[in-house]
Amino acid sequence: MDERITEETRGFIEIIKRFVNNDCIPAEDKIEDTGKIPDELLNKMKELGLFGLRIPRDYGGSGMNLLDYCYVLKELSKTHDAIRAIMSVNNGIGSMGLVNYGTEEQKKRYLPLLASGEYISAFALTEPGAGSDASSITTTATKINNGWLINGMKHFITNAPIANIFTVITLTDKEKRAKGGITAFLVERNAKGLSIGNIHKTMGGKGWLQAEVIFEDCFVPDNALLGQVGNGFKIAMTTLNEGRLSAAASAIGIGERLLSMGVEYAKLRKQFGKPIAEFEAIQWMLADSATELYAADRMLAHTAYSFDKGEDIRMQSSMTKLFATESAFKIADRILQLHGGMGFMKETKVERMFRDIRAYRIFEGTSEIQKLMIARELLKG
Amino acid sequence: MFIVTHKQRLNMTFADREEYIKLREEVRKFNLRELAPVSSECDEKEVFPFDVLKKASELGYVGPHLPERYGGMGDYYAKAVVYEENCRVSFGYNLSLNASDLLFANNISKHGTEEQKQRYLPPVIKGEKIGCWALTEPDAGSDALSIRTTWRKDGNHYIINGRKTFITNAPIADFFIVIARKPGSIKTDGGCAFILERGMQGLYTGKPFKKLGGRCSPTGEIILDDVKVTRDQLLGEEGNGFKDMFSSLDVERAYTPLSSIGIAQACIDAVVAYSKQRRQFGRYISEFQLIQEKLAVMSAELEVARNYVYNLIELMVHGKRITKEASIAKLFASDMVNKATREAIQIMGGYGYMREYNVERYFRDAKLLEIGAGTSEIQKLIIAKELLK
Repeated sequence: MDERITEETRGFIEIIKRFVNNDCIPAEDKIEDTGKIPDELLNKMKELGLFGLRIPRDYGGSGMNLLDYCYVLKELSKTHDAIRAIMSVNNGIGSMGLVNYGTEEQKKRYLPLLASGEYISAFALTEPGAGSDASSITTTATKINNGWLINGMKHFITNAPIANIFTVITLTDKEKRAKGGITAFLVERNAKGLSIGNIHKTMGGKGWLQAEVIFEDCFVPDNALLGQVGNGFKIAMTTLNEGRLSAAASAIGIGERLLSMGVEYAKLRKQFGKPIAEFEAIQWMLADSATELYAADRMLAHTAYSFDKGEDIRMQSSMTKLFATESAFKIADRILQLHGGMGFMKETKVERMFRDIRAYRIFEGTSEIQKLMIARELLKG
Repeated sequence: MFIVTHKQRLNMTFADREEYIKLREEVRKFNLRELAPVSSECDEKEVFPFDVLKKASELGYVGPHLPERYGGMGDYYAKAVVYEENCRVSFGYNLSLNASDLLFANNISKHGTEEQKQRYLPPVIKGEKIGCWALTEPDAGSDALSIRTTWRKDGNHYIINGRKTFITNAPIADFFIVIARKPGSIKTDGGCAFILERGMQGLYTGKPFKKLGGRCSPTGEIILDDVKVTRDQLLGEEGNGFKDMFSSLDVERAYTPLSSIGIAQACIDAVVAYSKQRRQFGRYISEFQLIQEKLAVMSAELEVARNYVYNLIELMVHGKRITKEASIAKLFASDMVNKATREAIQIMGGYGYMREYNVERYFRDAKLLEIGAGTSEIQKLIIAKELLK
């Protein structure tokens, strides 16, 4: 384990390993079938403090730095992806705007609830017409007496059906857009005019509960404003910047689990009179996977550490997200292939992980957008 | 949506002949009308669209390669056109259809007695009965000759015991071809193919497996517990089971890569339409070079594969030995379609990952093409073996 990770977190990671093996892995099939994490398991996650790892200690969290958090997240990703999804929103895109830009009153009100897991959060940026091009959102917020009226529709919003609090990115000035015309709000679930639309059916990510969020003259008071009017695009982008590293950490965790499943199966499965592990073709698959995971893991540790030191990691976080998620996808494909027909069947978990990992090349900025951002950094100046 | 995509191609294969262009148009229209509206739902519910099969059979789209006197058209090219067009809409539908009219029925047609042909071919061609073909076992996947299902003689009868797995159509089949070996026999000796029917004592099928893709095509186990049959149910000569299997394999192997062609064409249909209507950063995404590069590579690889596969079909029809060529086609085309489905989802971003858009299904379906009917790794071994001998 990386020596820069604190002693305390290393001990915690051992606890998480046991939690994953003893509590999470046995529940995977049930989560996949029902699309829901059993209450008992969710309560254990809360007891372990998993919802507040990144939230400052003053507000009830553990105040972990990004490096330590990424390595906890990596271990927690070695099981059903719904477990990772529900806790990582509270630790990342669902709370980071608040931590970095919230008023003292807002932080005191929401952060302890998010840290304990009592509140589930969601981050509502994406719209039908605004995916990679986030600044083209059309959901508007209009100033009225003592508050704002929000109108529009968001979609692909993780946790939406169960979220208590939404960070909503809106358009407040059509001319200015990304340059001062986008504003963030904290909207509670019971706000009048907020409703949940269709829950999307997805290839993988059972239990992510991605849905549409509809705002019809949704009223929020002035104190729901997050940061300054016109500052919303920056809030969204800095929030996502960190999210890239957590996506990479999860992808590496999934990749490591797949590799260990592949090694185990290759030793067990016999064809042509010997374990398939003895065939060079299989050995190459395993060797390539291990090499890519090692590289991705080092990129992650280095970049997260740089972030914690206060360095600008825009380019490195894009590179790490790109490499880790592309590698994890290749690994999922190889390990499925190594399992042959059995890998195509739902009874081996590879099938599920193959579907889940596909989304990683899309969310938190597609691979293509990462390349554009890397190129932009290279070409500027 | 356009009906025919390669009308303008200059080089001539069977696919450019007037009759097959016309057939393709008809099959496309039929599939868009009958198959496309149910294909997502059948995938979701994991059920086979029997109604579509019945209607398709009325138009001659089931078993067109089988002899005319049993209801077919004796036309192997027509089978290729139907095969590809089916996969362009629903790979799973074609997977089951093909297990019935090719894996099962072609083996009957090739190795069966006149009585067997009369009994089994017409109902399959009419879409009234479903056939399947069973070789794979839990411990015999890539290493196919290591099967442990056995037959032994008991007077005028044969008694079959064993267990087959991953058999396309097993849960819905009326007729089965089961490959078994004589205890103690090795390699290609001692094999027998038996034609079994649902309802025979000792024959059981398990529940359908849950799968990543090809979900409207039920796959399952067959359990054979002292199944006792007469000589009438033996397909081909006693002991010739493996040799017969290899002799008809070329036909099956020639068609397999058409699945990749059909699915890749469906991806191109979907992403061309999408990229021309989706706007980001103030432009249609089709105007970005990054998207154009993806479209260009998808199309280039598809057309190269398409031409190679059509050529392969012609070689097969002319009775040429295609051991190496069929492996090259399967390896290349299945790699091509997996890249195409990956890119199709990627071009559509979040939408591509959602069930309501078909590319999500194409992606899951395509993965089987690198596994079923010989994994990509096995194809490479075959190509290398042919090169080195």
